[in-house]
Amino acid sequence: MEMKEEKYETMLQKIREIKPVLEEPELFCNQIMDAVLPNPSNRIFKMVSLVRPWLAAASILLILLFIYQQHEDEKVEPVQMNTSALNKPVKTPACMDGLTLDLKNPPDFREMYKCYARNNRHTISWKEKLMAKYGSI
Amino acid sequence: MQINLPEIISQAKQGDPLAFRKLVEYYQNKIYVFVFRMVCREDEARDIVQETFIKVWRNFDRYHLEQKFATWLFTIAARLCYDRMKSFRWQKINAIEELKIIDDLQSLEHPEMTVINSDLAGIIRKLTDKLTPKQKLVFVLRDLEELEVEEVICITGFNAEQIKNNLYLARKFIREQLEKM
Repeated sequence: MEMKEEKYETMLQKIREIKPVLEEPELFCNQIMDAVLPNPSNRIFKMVSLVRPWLAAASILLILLFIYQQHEDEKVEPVQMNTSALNKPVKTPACMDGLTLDLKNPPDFREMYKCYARNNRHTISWKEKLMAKYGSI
Repeated sequence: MQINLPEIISQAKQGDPLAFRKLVEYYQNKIYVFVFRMVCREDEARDIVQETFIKVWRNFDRYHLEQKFATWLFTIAARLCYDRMKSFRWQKINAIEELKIIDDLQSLEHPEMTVINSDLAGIIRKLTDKLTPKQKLVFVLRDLEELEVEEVICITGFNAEQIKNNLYLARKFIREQLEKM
C-alpha cells in the first residue's frame, strides 16, 4: 500500500515539476491583444466579411432572375394576326394614279417604275435611268 | 521585474489596454500550464487561454477588486476547459486519439531526458483520460496546481463534499493506472 502511495506521489511530483512550455509568448500576447482590441481596419474587414455572403446571394438571385426571364421570353407564342384585311385589294388615291393593289395578285412594280421613268425622263437621275434600263445596278 | 499587480489590475479594469497587456504577460504562462494540464493539447490550450483573456477584458466590470484576481482568472479558464471537455466534438477527438497516446512514461524515470509538451500531454492523458471532466478539474486544481480547497471551491463552484468525492475517485483511478504500468 505504501509502495503504491509512494509511486503515486513520485509521479505527481514529476508531473508538477515538468511544466508545459508556451511557445513564442510575445507573439501569443500580441495575438491576444489583437483579439481583445480590434483595430479599425479589422472592424471594416469584419463588416465586409459579414456583408459579403448577402451580396453573393443577391447576385446569384439576380442572375437566376435574368435566366428565368430569358427563358420566359422564349416561351411567348407568336400572336396570330388577322391578315384577311391585309389581303383585300386596296385602291390608291387619285393622286397616286388610282391603282388597285391586290397582294394576292401583285402588280408588276418593275414595269410600273419603267413606265414612270419613261414619262419623267428629264427629271430622274442617271442612276435611276440605269435602274430603269437594267433592273438593278 | 517588480510590478505593482493591484494597481495594474485596477488600471486594466478601467479599460487601460497597456495595463491589460501587462496582465496578459504576467498571467499567460500560469494559465497556459493549467489549461494544458486540463486539455493536454497545445492548440486547444492556446485557444482556451486566448478566449479566457478575451472574456476577462469583456467582463472586467463583473470583477471586484477585493476578489483575488488569479482566482477569478482561473475560474474563467476552468469553466472554458470544463465546457470544452463536455462537448461532443471533444469526445470524438478523444476517441480518435486514444489509439495513438504516447506511451512514454519511461521518460519520467530519466530526468536528463527533455520532456516536450507532447510527451507530457501523453503522460497526463494516459493517467487521467478516463476521468470525468469534474474529476479531472478537481484533480488538476488540487493535486497538480496545488491550490487550497477554498480556492478550488471558488473556482469550480462545487461544494466541499463534491470536491472530496471527485478527488477521491480521481486519485483512486490514477493509482490503478499506475499499478497497471
